[in-house]
Amino acid sequence: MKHRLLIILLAIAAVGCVKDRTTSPVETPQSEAVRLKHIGDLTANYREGSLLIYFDEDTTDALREGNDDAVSHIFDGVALNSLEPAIRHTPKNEALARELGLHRWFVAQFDSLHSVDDVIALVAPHAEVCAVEYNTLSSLASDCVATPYHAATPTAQPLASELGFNDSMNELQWNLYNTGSQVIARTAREGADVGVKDAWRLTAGSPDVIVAVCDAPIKYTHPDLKDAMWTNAAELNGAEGIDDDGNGFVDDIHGYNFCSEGYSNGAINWLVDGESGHGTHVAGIIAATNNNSIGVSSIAGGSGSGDGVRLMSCQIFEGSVSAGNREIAEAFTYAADNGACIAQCSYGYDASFYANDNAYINASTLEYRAIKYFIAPENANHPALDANIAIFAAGNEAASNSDYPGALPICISVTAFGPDFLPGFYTNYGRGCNIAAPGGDKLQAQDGRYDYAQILSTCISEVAGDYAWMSGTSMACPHVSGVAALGISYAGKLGKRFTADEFKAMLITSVNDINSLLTGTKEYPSDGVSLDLKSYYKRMGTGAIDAWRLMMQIEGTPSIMVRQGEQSMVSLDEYFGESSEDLTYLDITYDDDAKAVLGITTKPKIKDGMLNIKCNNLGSAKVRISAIAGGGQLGGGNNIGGTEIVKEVSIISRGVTTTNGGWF
Amino acid sequence: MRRLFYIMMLALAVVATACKKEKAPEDITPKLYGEWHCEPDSFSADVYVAFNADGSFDLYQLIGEGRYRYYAGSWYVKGKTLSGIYADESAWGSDYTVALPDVDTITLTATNGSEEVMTYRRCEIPASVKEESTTMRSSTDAEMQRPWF
Repeated sequence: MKHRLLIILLAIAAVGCVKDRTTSPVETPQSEAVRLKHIGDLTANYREGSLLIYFDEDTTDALREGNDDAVSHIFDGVALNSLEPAIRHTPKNEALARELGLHRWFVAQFDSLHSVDDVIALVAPHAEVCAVEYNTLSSLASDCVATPYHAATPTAQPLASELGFNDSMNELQWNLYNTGSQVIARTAREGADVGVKDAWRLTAGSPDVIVAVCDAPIKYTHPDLKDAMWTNAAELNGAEGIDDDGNGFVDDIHGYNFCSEGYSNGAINWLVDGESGHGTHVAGIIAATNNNSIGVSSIAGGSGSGDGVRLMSCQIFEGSVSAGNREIAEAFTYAADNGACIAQCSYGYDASFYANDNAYINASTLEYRAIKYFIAPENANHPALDANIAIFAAGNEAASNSDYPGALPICISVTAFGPDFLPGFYTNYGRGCNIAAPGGDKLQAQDGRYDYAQILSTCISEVAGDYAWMSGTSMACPHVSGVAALGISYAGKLGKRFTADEFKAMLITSVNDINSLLTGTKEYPSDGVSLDLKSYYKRMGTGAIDAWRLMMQIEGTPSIMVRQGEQSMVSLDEYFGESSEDLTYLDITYDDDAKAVLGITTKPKIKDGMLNIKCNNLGSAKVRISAIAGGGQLGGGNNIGGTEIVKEVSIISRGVTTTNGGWF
Repeated sequence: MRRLFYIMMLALAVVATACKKEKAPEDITPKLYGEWHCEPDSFSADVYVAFNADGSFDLYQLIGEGRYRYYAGSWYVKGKTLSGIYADESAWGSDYTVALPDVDTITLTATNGSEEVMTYRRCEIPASVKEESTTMRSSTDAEMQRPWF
């Protein structure tokens, strides 16, 4: 213990001597303290024999020119196996990578006879070392237990044929179309689904929308996924062992395996002990091929004519080996550089691990900045959006806040509900959680069966068959990613373009209400336990994702009509979702022109989701309403909280209004 | 006697003339049958309405952005006043005084005190408007016609 304390003190002293802090992640005394606390955190789960080091510019340049002697004195006494850039290549946007300091991060691999703390104590005192960081390990947001598919007897949901696609197993996909069948679950509720059935009449996806699945591998030979994979044509048609497209990665035909402890040198690999099929399951929820008469339907898997969105496998878990910050960071830069517009991330760090945004940012700086690289406008990968978006699972610890990184306001964090529209027993909720989606609930056993109430999707035949049930916020997250992919497809089809903030605001507010159900308890008779639902009230995010509502928001939201000269109370449901009354609103703003046109003399207010406004003039103008998506306080800094969303609301002041919005 | 006869004839003529003047006012209802289009100048709205002979109406409205929304209901005219109710039993926001400047134009003036005036021109409702407005959420017929506010 004394030894560890000495190391910590040495590290504190060392970092205190660092000269270059201009772009260092430890720029302020406060964040420095947080970082150092993390370095000394005995509960941290990090990769042994690996350390992330942030060098100064001169040393960075020397190392990148191959001058390893520049750091030989720093590692004196360490059996160093390798020292290489943490982010090996950023061919698309080198300037941005440098601006974010990504080029200065290196990963040192050393003999595990040294503890990471020992190495920190040795290298941190050197002036060339601006910061050090554990290669912190993350976890998948699921118990990774896959139950192999078996046909339902009796037929689970005969009406599933109304889905419109002929995939043979979709009667069991309550997550797409829930008829309330008690074969699925004793308490199944009609409509507790993702609302995609109607949205499919408008679009079922588009191949130019690429979703990077940052997860365990996607089995790209799977019969229901092989046609949905993003394909790097240059590598497919190139020579084996050669980086044919010059993106820095060899033979990355459908993605890449970033696991530094991997067994496969970059090749996507699912034939490893400990593989669960998690990434393949997630992928199938988003884009398993629709209408091919086999297996499952998916949210954005097209209509059967090759028109689904595409999946990029960014493998950051291999068997039982967890992803570290470095592998994750490189997956994000790769996804940005190779065309993905959505990062689907069903992983995170346990909710108890980081107390607030600063704690995460200062302890996982490399990963944070790589996410920033992915979502930077300079790296936008689809014409319908001015930046990419990152979507995360909220986590499965039943904790009252989201896991990081999903809890960050720049990300979307997804909670999970079961076929009864009620929270899964495992789901995180509360601060930092933005929206809910179907994630299954295996404890909703029906006659002793623990499968149908979970999510059925593609899996790995060598693990649990080609199709299997799993549950978790890991499964909820790809529902939101799938709906987002569907929305981007539709926006592209309409020739519309949104800022990423606008699109995220539409996505997060395309919801059905679940708060009205969150009273009393949720019983699990088979297990003799119950959930106190009031704990989840207003804490599952904005509501339950609904694909149709997103399509309508993308088409455009009708104006609100108010009666000239009268105080009007109008619902904001169509702008902020069916749970609009439960949101925390921040402000209403409007410019002088709007004020004059509408004749506003008293600032409008919002109460219980109703806009209270008086317009003295006839006319129309727009006002901007900001709200918090997920919780009562915004995230950022020393907070953990929701994301600010801003909506432009068009107001028409006229002489006639009706309660139902009709014209006459 | 002859004089009395003439007086009676005159009286009959007067009565007949009087009766002619008290004839019921013209029923303008048939003149409203058909499909109409309204595009107000002062704000972004595009409204089509069909006043059907069976007393029902079909309303397709695009207010601001998005897609046409469909409403149905019933209408009637009393004198020169147009009234109606939506199928969801919501009342119209006003009755309207009808004027018919020509066979292809009607102006409706709200009688709720606002004096809002809208002009409608005879126009076949485009099939695309009907199709778009009814391609709504289809889980139930009721929901297809559910108001969006």
